[in-house]
Amino acid sequence: MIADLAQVAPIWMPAAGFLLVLLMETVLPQKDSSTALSLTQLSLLGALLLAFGPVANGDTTVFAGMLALDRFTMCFQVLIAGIALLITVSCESYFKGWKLAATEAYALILAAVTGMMLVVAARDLMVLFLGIELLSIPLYVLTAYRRLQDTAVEGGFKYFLIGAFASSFLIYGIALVYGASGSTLYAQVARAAGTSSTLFTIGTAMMLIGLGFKIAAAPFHHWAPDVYQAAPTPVTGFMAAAVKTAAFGGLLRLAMEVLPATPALLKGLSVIAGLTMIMGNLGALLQTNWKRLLAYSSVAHAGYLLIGVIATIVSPESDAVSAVIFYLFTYAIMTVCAFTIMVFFLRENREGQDLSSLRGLSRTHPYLAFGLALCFLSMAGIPFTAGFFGKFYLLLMAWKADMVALSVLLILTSLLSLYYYLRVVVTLYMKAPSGSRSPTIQSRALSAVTLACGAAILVLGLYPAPLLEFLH
Amino acid sequence: MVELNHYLILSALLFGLGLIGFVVRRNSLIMFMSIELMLNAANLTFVACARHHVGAEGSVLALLVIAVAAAEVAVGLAILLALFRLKKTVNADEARELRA
Repeated sequence: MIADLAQVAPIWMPAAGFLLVLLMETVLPQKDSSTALSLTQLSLLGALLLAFGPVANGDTTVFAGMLALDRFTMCFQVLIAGIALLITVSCESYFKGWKLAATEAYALILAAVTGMMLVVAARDLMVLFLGIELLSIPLYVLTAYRRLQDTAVEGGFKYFLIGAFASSFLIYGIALVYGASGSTLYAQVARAAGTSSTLFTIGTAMMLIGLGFKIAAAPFHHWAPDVYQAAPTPVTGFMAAAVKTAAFGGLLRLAMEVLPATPALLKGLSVIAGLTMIMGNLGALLQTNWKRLLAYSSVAHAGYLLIGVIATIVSPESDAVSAVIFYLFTYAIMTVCAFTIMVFFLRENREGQDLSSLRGLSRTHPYLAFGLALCFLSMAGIPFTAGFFGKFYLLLMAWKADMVALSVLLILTSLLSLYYYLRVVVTLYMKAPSGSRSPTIQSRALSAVTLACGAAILVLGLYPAPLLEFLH
Repeated sequence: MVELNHYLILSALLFGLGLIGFVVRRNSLIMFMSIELMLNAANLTFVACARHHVGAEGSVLALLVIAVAAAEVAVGLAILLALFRLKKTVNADEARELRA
């Protein structure tokens, strides 16, 4: 047991950081949150580095087979810790700008990261459930963090109600699957999957509905725009990048090890994937609020990713898994980049979130405008950006798995998405600036994160081979 | 003789009741209670299946669910309280500032 603990350091390190930050705030109250920030970043960095451990030691499972330590876990844990690390940088500037206490926010982010680390390593349905709860509950609080603002609390409230509703679907599904198989371990659940009992089918459907809410797949996506709009900008970035990564990590492992390739399941998931792509892209067309736009765009990306999940269920040993992970890497980088740039402007009211506030940004803030344009072009999947290869590999996998309809839909909806992504770029570059030069935060750390993410988008767009090799 | 199926039907009914309650009622506290009903449907299933499979695992899982539900409600009520302070109502339909 103790030996196992040493191996799962990436999971308990953020948890230890969470407790330390909270304790420190009570025992030794600090004037500012810089100590909390260093503690947070230290534990995240530790988790990031120690996540590489399993590769050196070979694939194993620990805690009676409940947690898997393999390459898959490693890729996801590295990605999640990396996202969290970059987000803490923008948190610092954001909360300082708003004159809000940031210590609790760091603690909550660490708690959520613990949950995410659990979700991607889970090989037991109950661990999956606990991980999802542990990542969700701190996020309800983080969404409502500006607790004197009507909109923020309303967003947190809605997120909580929908999240708890989704969790009850997930746990009821797990209960039914346990009833059908007599165990919650993936290996034993998979054995029962072959018998295809009614109990198992209903249970799986319920679980997938619950997870569908968490990844904001249509028709369970209606909470996303409201919550994205309400949450503090860095938290929205954290949700868009890290939560999606973790939830897809959990879903992908289920697809690899548990979910049977029955026609009913594949048909159901295909309908959800198609619907998610269509609803996400159609919803984004009409948005004038950039946070809501990115919310619908994240719904659309969840639809693309679901194609990879279906391809994984069809052939668990295929490269579809690494295509999905590659897509999540690129998606996380561009999302973090876009939200970090938006932190520079620090405005959360209706006007500040309106796309028109970005008019002519290329003239007043050329670097920020270029970075933002790069993010949006990458999300659209324009060649020579990271997003292009992400979509390209997913399409390849869909084609190999004979999913013609979904492949065509992916191409069509991507073309549709060009409209709203390019509209932002046009606003940035071809409209005259409105009013005076908008003020921005000056922060070297923030600029460094933006620069690193922007460079990563370009490098991955030109030379994706090393990362792909790493993910295989 | 009460069999596994009877328990499963009862828990499905409980879950359905909670689901309908959540969708139909607009009072946030009642919506909370409906969610609890759905969680308890899962608990009943766990315990019934644990007896069917003759093992303690399912009962332990039910205890875990109870603990998680308590944590969730603690946070949920705190958020609801913050909302009530701002809006002076617990009606979910009054929470509609967030629009496109």
